[in-house]
Amino acid sequence: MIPLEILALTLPLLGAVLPWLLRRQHNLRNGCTVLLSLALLATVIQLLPAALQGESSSEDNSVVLGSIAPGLDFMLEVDALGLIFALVASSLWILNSIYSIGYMYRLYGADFEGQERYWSCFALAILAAMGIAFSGNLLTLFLFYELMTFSTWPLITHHRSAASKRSGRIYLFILVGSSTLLLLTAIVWTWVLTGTVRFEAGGILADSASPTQISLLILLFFFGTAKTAIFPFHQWLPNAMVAPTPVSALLHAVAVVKAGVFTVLKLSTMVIGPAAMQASWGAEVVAWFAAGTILLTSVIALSKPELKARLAYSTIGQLNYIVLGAAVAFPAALQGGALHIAMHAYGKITLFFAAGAIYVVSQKTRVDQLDGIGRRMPWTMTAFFIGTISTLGLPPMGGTWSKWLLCVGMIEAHQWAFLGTLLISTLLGLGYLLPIPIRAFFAKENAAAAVKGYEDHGEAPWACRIPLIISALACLVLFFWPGIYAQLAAMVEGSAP
Amino acid sequence: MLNFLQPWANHFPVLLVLIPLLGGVLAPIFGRGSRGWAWAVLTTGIATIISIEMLLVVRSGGAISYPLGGWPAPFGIELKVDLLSAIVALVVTSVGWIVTIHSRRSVQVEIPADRLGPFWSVWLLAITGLLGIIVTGDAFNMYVLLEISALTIYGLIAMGRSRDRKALVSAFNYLILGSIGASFILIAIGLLYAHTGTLNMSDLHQRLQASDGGATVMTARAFLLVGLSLKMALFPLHFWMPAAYSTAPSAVASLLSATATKVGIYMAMRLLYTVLPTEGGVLTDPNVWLLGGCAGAAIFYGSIQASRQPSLSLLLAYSSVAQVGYIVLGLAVGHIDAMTGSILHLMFHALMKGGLFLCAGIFIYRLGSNDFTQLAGIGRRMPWTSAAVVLGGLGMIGVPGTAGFISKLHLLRGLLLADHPILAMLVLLGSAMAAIYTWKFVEIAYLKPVAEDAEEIREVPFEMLWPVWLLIGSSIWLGLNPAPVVELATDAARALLGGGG
Repeated sequence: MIPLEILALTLPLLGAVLPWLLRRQHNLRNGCTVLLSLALLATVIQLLPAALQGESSSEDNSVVLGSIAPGLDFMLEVDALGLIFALVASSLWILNSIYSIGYMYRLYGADFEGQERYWSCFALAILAAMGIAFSGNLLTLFLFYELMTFSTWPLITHHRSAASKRSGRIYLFILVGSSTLLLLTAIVWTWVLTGTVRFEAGGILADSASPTQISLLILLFFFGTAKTAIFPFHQWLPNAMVAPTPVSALLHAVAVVKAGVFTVLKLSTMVIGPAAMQASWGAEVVAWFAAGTILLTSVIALSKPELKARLAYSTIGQLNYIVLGAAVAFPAALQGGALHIAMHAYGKITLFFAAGAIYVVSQKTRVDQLDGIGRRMPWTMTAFFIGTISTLGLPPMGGTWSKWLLCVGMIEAHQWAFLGTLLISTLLGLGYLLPIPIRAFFAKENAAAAVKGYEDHGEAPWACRIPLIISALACLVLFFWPGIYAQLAAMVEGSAP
Repeated sequence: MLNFLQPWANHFPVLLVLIPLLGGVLAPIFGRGSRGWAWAVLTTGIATIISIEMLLVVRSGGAISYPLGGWPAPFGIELKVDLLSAIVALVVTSVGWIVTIHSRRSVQVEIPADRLGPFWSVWLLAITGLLGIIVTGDAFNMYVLLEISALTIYGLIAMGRSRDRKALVSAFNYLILGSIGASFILIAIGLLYAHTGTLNMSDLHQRLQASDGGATVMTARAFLLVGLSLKMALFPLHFWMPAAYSTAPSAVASLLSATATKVGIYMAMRLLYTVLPTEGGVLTDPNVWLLGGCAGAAIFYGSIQASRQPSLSLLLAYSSVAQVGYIVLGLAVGHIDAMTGSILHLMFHALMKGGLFLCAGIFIYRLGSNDFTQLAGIGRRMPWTSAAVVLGGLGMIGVPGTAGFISKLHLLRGLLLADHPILAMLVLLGSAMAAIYTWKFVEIAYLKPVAEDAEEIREVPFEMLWPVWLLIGSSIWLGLNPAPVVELATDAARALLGGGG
């Protein structure tokens, strides 16, 4: 039988090939894509029981994809943290596929240009996400990390305009530059120092590297993983917003950016090791940078009139909550960081879905145009409200739990400044996100803000509306039943005190 | 091993030279049309099979020594094939074979019909010379074969793409520089002969290692370094290469990029490590810094220049300048891992750059040139060729999953272990800059709109595409499953650093 990990890579690979085979049969292709995404979720769920029983730690159940040299393989291995990421990415791929159909068809027609590339690259990015989630060593992680960068470039430049070309360049420049210059250095250096690149509970570096080396490695690792959008490598994310909204939604709120924070959590727990993280000045520096990024982007978000730009800066801030958690590396902080991967994903994708839905029917992109729009689009704006609350980590939404744990982690670590950062950024978040749904429902509609030809619009098409309703419901459900995600987060290496 | 080859197994080294030589001499009688091409495919095909078998023999039974004419070394000329020679021979024959298969149409378009016979003749003779350099164990013999390959290559370049007059100039420049390089090598060999009284390479190495060297050996080494740098196009002696590669017939550019510079590098490995005296298996410090410095500068300069070129051929040629830098870097440092990386990159670069130059040739075949102004929007008009360029370019960057990553990984490990963190950073910087020049093509091919007045262009026939995809595809395959090749390269590197085959 094919190992499930391989199946989890094969299904998106099929999804990447299909659009080229079914160039004319659009409906068949759409149907197959949704079916593949469902099958992928089922596959990931199949992997859950074994991981929850903790079998993965006791015996070696890795799957080797290819071998470079003895002891140096491309290999897959399932663990709790990987399952969180895989579960989030695969479940949201379903919603996003449906949403993509509604969004792209309404805006660009059923036969939009470059559709093969669009669907194919999307599936490749999911393939990369699965590969990252299940990677068994640094080398495999790096392989899929780079695959994700290159497979999403065609999506960012989908419109082929001068602006998208420029954004594509910034995207590649920052992500490829940082990963080859810093991340790869760190990986090879780790290999040279320890003789291995495997992930092991408690880290592999502690015994074979001096404290200074560990600190330098932490800096290389954390800044090399620019997908976390840590300052000063954050600029690619707002620029990536030129992509069609479904791309921003899945890739730049979920897959790409979560790949970054997943990587730093993995590094913190299984390469460097929580104990070494807590003792090193390198982690301290990273934490301050993360905290700085959180505050900086919150302030920038306040000043951004473009809805998607505001969401992008909010994403940067939220990502750096997780980086902060990974850098502080106390049990609750790590657990909160892992949980935040899931919680933030459902909240933020709801917000992006809503932003796209608004654009589809009204062509509105700026926050100040949205007064009173809630009466025209009650479903969308209610979902937006729920997403806002969840993103800010307030009850009764799922985001509460991860933020709670992160705060507990900061208290455990006696990092009062970082605790303050988290709380202040929540307040700032209230300032830049909450007014949008409130004004949408309670402010008077401004007729002058309407885009010509789109004055009298109603709700978004169902294909757009259903995914955002489901993801909003998920935020609500995850507050009362954080269930599987909480269980998995509690099983992440280093999250048990 | 193939059974019918068994009786010939002892003669593989000499057959590897004789068969293309014979093929080259006979090629003119096949004359016009596709017959000359078919003959060249047959000859290079046989050579490829022999080199595969030879590699297997060397792998299982150790280095082969073949006394030419039955005169034992050191009195007669010895052919000597160790693991490194067998690997490089396989690279030259196999990539040469695939390039030959691909080239039927492009050669028919670019070379006048009445020159086809001589063209294939010279083509095969060039391969003969290159293979001879690889299998010989005699220093003077190596020089002679170097001249054979060089003279034929000047001829190939001078034929010019569709009688391009500029090719005459670049061939002439190359002729002058190549001859200077070869003379320097000859002077060096002469000095070594005067000092030791032998020309056999293993003999030379033993005697040089035993003697204290002194000024003669030092002078010889200096002459060798300059001559070899010219031959392998190492910065700052690279300048003949972009001109030659961009004006030569496109098939010739592919052949040369995959084989000629590689053989130059092979000569450097051979002469610097297994002929000249070494210090416990590695080069002495000044040489490391000289070669390493030039290699580092090559990576930097080549990558920057590559991103500023107006045509794909020139871009690829400057990228080769940079990639030669990587290989020489590993060669210079002399750490086992770095040397492994070097040998790996020698193989992988031949695959990738051979494939890329074939793509450049395909664009010329369809569009008449591969200037970037012509290539706007080519991604949609010639999707298979463009996709191959992108994959090859990713290999140049060294993206994980491509062969380029594997060689760079070993190179980096070697550089770090040998305490050269600055050179390691240069390698990484070069990768990042390779992303810039690769993306230059990607943006032009995929984001630029097709010119309004552009003619209808179709993808080239399958006949021309599959060799490209064979080369590029195998570089991807080797990027994911390189273990056997890595093992092979490690053994070759160990043999080389152990001081002789």
